[in-house]
Amino acid sequence: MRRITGLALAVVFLVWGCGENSKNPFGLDLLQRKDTGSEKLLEIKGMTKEMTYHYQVNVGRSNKIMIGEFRGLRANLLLRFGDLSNIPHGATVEQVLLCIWRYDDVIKASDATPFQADIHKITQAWDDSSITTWEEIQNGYEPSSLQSIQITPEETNVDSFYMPTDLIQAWVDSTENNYGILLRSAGANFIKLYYSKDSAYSPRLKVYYSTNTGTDSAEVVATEDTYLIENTGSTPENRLIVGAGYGFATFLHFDVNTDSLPKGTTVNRALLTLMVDTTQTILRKKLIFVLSSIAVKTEPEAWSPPDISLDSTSTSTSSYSEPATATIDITHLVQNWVSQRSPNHGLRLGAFSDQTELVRLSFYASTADSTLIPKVEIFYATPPIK
Amino acid sequence: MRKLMREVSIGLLFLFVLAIAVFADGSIYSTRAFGVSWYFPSGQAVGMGGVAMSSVDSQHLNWANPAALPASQTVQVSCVFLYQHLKINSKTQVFKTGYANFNGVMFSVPVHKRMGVAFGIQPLTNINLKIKRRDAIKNNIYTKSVKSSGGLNSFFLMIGYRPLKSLLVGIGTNFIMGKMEENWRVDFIDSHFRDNFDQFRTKAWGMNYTVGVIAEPLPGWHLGGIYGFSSNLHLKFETSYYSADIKTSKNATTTYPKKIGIGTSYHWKDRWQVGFDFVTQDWQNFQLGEEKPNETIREYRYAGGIEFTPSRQTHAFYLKQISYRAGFTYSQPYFLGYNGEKLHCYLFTFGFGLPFAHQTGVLDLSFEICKMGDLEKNMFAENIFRMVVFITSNERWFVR
Repeated sequence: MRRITGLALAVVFLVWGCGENSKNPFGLDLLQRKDTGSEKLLEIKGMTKEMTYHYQVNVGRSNKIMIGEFRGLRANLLLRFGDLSNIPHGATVEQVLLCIWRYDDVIKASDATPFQADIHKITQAWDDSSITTWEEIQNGYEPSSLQSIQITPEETNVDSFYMPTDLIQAWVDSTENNYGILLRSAGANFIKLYYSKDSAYSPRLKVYYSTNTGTDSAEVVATEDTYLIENTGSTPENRLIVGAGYGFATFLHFDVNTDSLPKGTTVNRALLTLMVDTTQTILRKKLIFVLSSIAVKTEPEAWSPPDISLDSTSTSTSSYSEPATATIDITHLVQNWVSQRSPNHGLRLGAFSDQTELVRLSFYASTADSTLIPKVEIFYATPPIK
Repeated sequence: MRKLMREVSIGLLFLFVLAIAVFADGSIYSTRAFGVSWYFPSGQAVGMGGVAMSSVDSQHLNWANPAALPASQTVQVSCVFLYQHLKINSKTQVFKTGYANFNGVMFSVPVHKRMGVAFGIQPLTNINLKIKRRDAIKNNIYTKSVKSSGGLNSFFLMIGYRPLKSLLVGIGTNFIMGKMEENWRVDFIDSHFRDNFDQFRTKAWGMNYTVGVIAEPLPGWHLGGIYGFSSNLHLKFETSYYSADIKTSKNATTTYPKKIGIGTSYHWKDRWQVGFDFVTQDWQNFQLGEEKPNETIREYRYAGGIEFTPSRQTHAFYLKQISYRAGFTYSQPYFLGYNGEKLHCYLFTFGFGLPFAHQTGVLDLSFEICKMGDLEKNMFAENIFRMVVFITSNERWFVR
């Protein structure tokens, strides 16, 4: 009987109590604290200092290679097939096909049309793990084209091109140094991407040959491959650039008046908004470009790229896929400045995967029209004080 | 022993089920100083308006006066549950809320026919308040909230002795400890925003002593009193701004004020009991570290109560075995209202002592109806309904 009474009482209180969790309507001022804190938005328009600089990038270990030209950047493709040992000595090369597998999508505008790519014999040694610039090879190939191939913007799975048999024969016979070939576009308006030797789908030559015993074929896999970016255009004024593949980084500094913010202030969100010049942007549709922001240790007055030291402990990343604006989350960096854990010497905006992709993001500088200049929004909350 | 454990287990299970039923807000004044003070001296006293200074009863543990301990010749276990329903009135709004929790446990042993010892834990003050506000910055909606919780608790050890048939004395030591937290949060709906979490935490600890005496100058008439010595209370203030990764702490010492209580009660024909109490504690000079909050004053409590038990016989009709109680308390809390005016608290109580297991245990069900504060003078007026449940088990362990 006692237990039943107890249980009944418990049920009554359970029902009664659960109905009482309404929200207390009285204000925070009720607590009569020295400060109950406040939530605010700080907007900063324009940077106090900004600069873009170009740096060398080695893309030889990327899983992709590319050829073509788009918005002032030309991708020159270098291939070397150094191991021809599976073609018998003395064999006669009858026909050679270059087979390369398309990688994902094409960097192009809507008006992309096929272009001719010339095949040149490379005359100097190169190493895809160290070569970084077009200038290193621009005098190291035969200017006269051995042959031309046509690259189409269609997203075919595999592209096959006939290669000059004389050159391959000379490599087989060891009468020519085998430094590989250069595929160089002329008048292209797109860049096509292929899998590189550092992927599961290596570029390869299919060599058809004949010997005394008959005809046969052999596959020769690329031993070196890379692409070298040649800057064929010019950057308009009032632009800042972040780029991968052809490295661009931008340094930005803006004033956050940390003296006016209490030390315990929480930065709820800080967004750097950049207005993108879409006529200069190079981006594949299927790629979400990841931007990295790193705090700078060098004072803005002493910025002299590349001799700018960075605080690798204070970084953040943001994705960009919208064409009109790039919004970069820099909450972590601004929190460090506001908390005075590190001084505000600005940030370096760069590409997260600058050795594997070809991307360029061009945005308006602070000297541009006021509606287009970089902007920072800081949502913050000042701390309560008891 | 097995019976005792069974009864205690049933009691604890009962209280546990009740305790998890509700856990919401407490008094709007609970963020003042160390919070709202609670005074539940015994299951009997709560029903009698809090009359406990001179209360000598063999079936109830009296937490307020250690001199009362030798009155019981049984091993007693007592645990308490509290349910509180509040209606908070301001000039513009009315807010209803509830609070429920365990409210202490005590164990006493008669080590000698003239001596008893007891120990246990009980809350002294309670803080429990949550305030929320919804707002937006540039269409980014957030909720700002403050949750205050905690309070002071006392872990006590008491000993009572009866040197003469009509005189009882006792001494108790209280280890006072508490943690009071104020958690400030700003939670944005958009998960891309970092939320705020700032915390103020005060830890308090110290030890004080209470002496008590109960005399019976005439048969049935008791006089009693306690004196709680003032003592040092150590404080540690911690501030944590978690998002900004800033933590500070500082230590301080304050004085836990002395407490004085006197009372008288009269027992008539073993059926009636009537009593009056006066208890005061001076918090006027209370300081929180270097700061004097200017919100504490002397606390007063005047109480009067009556109890009627038709029969003490175990074979009597059950309704005749029940104790019927009523009481009244006027008190002035130790803190001021939000506009600096004194608060007044009027409390009416009634309750029942429901014996069980052939009167070896008693379930004391007490109800308090309280009005605290004045809408004009104190900004807020609270109507409080409390139910306080004591379960006390009595068993003779050491009788041959």
